[in-house]
Amino acid sequence: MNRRTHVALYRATRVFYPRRFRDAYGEDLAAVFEEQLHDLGATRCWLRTLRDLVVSIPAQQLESRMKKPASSHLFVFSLALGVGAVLMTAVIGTAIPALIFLLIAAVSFGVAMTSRRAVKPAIALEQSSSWKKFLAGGGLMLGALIVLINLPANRDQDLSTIEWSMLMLAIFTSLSLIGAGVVLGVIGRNRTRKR
Amino acid sequence: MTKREKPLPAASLYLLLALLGGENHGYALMQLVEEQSDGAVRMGPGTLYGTLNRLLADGLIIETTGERADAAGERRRYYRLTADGDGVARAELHRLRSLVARFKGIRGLEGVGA
Repeated sequence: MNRRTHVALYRATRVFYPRRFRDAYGEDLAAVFEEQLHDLGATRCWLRTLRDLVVSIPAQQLESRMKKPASSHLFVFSLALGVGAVLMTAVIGTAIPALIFLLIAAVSFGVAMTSRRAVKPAIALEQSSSWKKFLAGGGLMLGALIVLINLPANRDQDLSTIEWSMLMLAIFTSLSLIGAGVVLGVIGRNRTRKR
Repeated sequence: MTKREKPLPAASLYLLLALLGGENHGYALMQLVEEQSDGAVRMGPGTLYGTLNRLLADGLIIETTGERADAAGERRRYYRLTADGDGVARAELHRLRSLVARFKGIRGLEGVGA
């Protein structure tokens, strides 16, 4: 095996590192491997590298997961939950359950806002294809609820106030998620056009 | 100086100690660490850059590649200690020296740290 093949093989193993680490140090990793290959020879270099891969890949993966701030998806989901609760209060007037859900939404919104990545969540979301996920997630949620309501076993059943509130909240939240998906999709599309 | 309650992991400690000699690039640091630890700490590229990344995040070292006169043609990254990093490295050396001193009186360990 020639030197270029060894380096290519090592380059292929970098895929197991977290993306951020790879983007920041990918070329440096390969350069150091190449220098080691030159100085130690293939067998010793690979023995050391394999030991390094076994230790450093799980360490980096673990570190990146521990550092990962709350997702910007949480930001939109908590917003959708809050909007859903407000809509529910406005449409059907069940104030107390809606207040509880508003509180839950506010807490998760707070968590999302204090995380680094979610400081500018709209920017992060516009640049990604998250809007598709919200659209699909909201649509799926709504579809599942419609199926659930129309199941023969549930069709003629009387719901308690809490069950009714949960159902309404789920419907309004899924509608809010669909709305968020459409809005983010339109904003993202306009930005892409301007560029 | 940053006050650290726990001793540094071996790789971090040796990298800081290697940087006490002045700025250097990754591969040279790796070789220095191996040499200074008498071959006990042998890092690979992943451990090296993982540790450097952590030291950067902790503010103990900084990257100096851009400050170098030959930066244009340089593809290696250079690092040096920050004031905090220098303090931590010296404090760790002091801690190790105190540890060795504490065990000097014990029979059979007379030659340790001499």
